[in-house]
Amino acid sequence: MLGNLLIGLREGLEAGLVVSILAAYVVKTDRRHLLPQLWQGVLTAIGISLAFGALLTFGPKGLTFEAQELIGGGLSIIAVGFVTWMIFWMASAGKRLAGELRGLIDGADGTRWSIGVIALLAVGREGLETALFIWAATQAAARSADSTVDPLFGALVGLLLAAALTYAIYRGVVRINLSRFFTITGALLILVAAGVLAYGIHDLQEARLPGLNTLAYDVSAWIGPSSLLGTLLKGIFNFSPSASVLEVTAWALYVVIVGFFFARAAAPQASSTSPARPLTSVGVRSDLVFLPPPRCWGGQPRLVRLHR
Amino acid sequence: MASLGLSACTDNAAPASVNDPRRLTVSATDTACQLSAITAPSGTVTFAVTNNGSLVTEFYLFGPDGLRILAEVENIGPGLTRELVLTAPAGKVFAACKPGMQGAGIRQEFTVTDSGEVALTGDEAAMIALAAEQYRLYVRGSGGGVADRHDIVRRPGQGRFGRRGPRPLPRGSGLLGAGGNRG
Repeated sequence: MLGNLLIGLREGLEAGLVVSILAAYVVKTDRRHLLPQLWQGVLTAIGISLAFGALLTFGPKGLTFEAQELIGGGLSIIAVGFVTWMIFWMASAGKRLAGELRGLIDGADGTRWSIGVIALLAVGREGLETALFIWAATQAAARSADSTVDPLFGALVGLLLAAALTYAIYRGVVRINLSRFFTITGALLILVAAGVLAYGIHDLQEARLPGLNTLAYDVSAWIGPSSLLGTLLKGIFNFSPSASVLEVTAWALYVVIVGFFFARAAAPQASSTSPARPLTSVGVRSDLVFLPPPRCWGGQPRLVRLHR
Repeated sequence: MASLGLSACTDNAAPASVNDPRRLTVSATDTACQLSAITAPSGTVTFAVTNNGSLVTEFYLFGPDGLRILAEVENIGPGLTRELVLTAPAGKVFAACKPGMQGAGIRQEFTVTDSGEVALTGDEAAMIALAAEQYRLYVRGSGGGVADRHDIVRRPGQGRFGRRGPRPLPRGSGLLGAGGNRG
């Protein structure tokens, strides 16, 4: 039972973490009206995964290994794209929030559906594998010969634990002070997304890409993949006890590049909007940022004009 | 409702699996990896892997080099049966259970005999090679035509794709639209 519990816990965490941060963001920025879109995305992903998994398990045709890896790996990499976009979206929104310009945040029409899409991808990318696992456990419970409900019970307890942990993370994240909220969630998301990217590349390496056996490191002797620690690290950061050079390279490049641009985007307003360096010392004064720009300027307040 | 669909399917699958040499079973424990047969005819082969041990296991089919993964099924928790389906070309491969999801796994050789049904990878490779050769000949033929008609003479010893790039194709030859001159 423990083995199946840990699988459920890991897969549940992998799916739930991005959703919990997204939910925290929506709540934190006073946009609870977007929560239905979020839940729609989650439920759609679960529904599609369970249905497709059932079709493959009980139907006449299975899915070849390659196709399954390409689905999992491909969706993971698409999910990374969306999460990356979300990181910067949050960074810019956070910057404006910090400047007390709430009213200007995202009139963007894309926001409504994009929240649903991100939730859909975050849950759906590994949803099929989880569904296949759940259906296999169901089969074990329902088979006539030596039926056992142990695996199904373990898997469901694991998923429930993952849900509870995800909720705890959400509560913890929501409590973060607004001034640090976007920096902390952004940094957390960068690490999570980098892990998902490495995972996606691992899947693609298993299916097609070369270099799977060129390992960068192997610490599975210390952090066993079936241990609780290994499960939590894998579930949250997609940490793998042994990883190929390509995986590690992709992970490092993602963290460095996205981290750099995130740090720049999250930095005080003056550095990104004012071209004139001498104004910086004035520009960072928050009392000047408070001035709402005239409507005709559209969007961003321009500090430069204020001082001309 | 689920149990209804389930029982219907086991009824369908059970008689077929008895005689079908392409449906194999694997009993995996923490220390052993027992296959119902060590050979199968090429084609769509299914391995139903049952974990009778206490550790979570994985089942792999490696290529002849023992490194490249042909197919894999993960997350086979204790008590579960999961299926691995693959289109197997003829040849020697390695089957492996990986109890605890780490290490090289418990390996053994597995032979896929040539049933004449699938040689998909070989066919594809042959078709690609044939297409490439035909294209090469076609380009050579077209290039020769240009040389004949426009007195563009290739000097002996000068490579086809020398510094000036590929030779221009004749105008209106149909290939690459109206003349692929890069000039």
